[in-house]
Amino acid sequence: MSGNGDYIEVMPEELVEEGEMYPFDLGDEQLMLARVDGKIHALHGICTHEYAELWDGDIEDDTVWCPLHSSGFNVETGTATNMPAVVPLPVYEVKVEDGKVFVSTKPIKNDPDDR
Amino acid sequence: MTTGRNLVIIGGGLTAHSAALAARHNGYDGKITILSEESALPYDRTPLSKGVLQGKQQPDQLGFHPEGDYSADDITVLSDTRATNVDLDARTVETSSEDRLTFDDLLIATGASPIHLTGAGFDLDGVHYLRTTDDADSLKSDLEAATSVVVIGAGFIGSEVAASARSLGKHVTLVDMAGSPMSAALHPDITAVCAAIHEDHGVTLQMNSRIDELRGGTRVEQAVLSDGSTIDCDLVVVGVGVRPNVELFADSGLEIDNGIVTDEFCRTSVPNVYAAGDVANWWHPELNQRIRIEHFDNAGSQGTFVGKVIAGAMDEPFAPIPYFWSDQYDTNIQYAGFASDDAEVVIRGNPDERSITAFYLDDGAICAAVTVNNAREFRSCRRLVAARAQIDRETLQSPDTDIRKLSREYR
Repeated sequence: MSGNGDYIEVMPEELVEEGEMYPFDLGDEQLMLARVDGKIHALHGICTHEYAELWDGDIEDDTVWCPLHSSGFNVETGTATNMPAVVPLPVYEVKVEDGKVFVSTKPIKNDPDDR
Repeated sequence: MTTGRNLVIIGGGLTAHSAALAARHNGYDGKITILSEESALPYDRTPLSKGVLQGKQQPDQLGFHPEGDYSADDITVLSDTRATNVDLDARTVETSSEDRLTFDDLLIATGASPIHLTGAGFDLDGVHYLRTTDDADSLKSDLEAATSVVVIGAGFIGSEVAASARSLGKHVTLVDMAGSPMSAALHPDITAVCAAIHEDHGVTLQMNSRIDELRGGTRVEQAVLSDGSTIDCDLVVVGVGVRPNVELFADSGLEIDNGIVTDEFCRTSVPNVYAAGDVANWWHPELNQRIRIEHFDNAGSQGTFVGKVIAGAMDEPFAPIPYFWSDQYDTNIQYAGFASDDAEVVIRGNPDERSITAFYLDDGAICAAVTVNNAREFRSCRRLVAARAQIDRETLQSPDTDIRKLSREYR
């Protein structure tokens, strides 16, 4: 885990419900929070296959399902687990402090800049 | 235990890609060779009728392998190479490059090819079919100069090509023998919305019609409908379905019936010879019948499945919930399940706003569901299909019902 300092505050932790996704902006990027088994994850919010807003999709177990073509992504690792997507989703670091959710401004996995 | 075995896959599409990777990643440590007639590595055909025709996606950017290189997985792809003869007794495949490959395991993933119309004039310039990137390149460049397009067949390819051509500003007439577009796949209450969407976008629908003849000099100029009326056009796209590519196996002894017949493990009647994807007519153990599916999802998931079977890493039969999507204009259509012809259909949403969800009920149980411009509800619907949920019509139809919340208990 890199934790190179920069985080943005997203929302109060108590509002993040199990099995739900919440979009937010990070600069020009659209990200989302997702809560699974109590743990909050932050991922890129746009499908890597074609433009689709993943928070309009669904979560089953540890898989985020794209609403348009049923691409699947692992919520923890961002790995594309069901085609048509093959490129993984960028994953961001999440920390909770003082009841607020903070997300790293750089991905900690699958950074498109590293590809 | 696969040590020393040797897998040959005939066909270079999604099924071949998925099977080769799954076999390798599940312990198949022998040689794996994909024999592909096309020059490109395995690629996604689904954008050809949409993003590629509209110029939003490039045909050389559709490859499935994220690194564009199969050598890291020690998979050999023989491109531009056709299988010319298969000997299932001698376990050999002869190729168009005059090689003779031997195999222990053979996967038939030859896919399907567009049905060609043979009436008068169908050999004129300007008549197109669409299956490969070469087809798409040719159609796209021809389409740029065209003004008036006739699309024959209003299934997936025809409907999507009509939408793409219309979005490029062409006059488009969409012709089908059925009463509405997508009618082989969807219930009439749903296809009525599909028809309305085409009309909203200015496509002329010519349903309950057929075109038996094209006229022109060297290039097509006119399509002749069965009632004798004519449509002026300078480009024709034919999308009237596909046939499974089984010719290579006609005298092989394999059972052929609407494709290569397999069991629920993709095994043919010959040991260690498998078939999957569009070419396979396989036994679905939960539907209790054979089905052959011509959609992306099945090509990928059945490929992955058979790769695991070949690697000795799969004990459960292949029994997925069939799934497909189509994108036309800004409309997303998705279907999950399997509905008999006499299933009852319940529509929620608003057809006038071109946004609906449809449930197919089989003795009161949800056996299939469709969303049109309502993708937010799709995964929830799929859960209800998987559970064969019994929910009364009024609840399903009510705008006060939150299908996403309702489906949570089935998650």
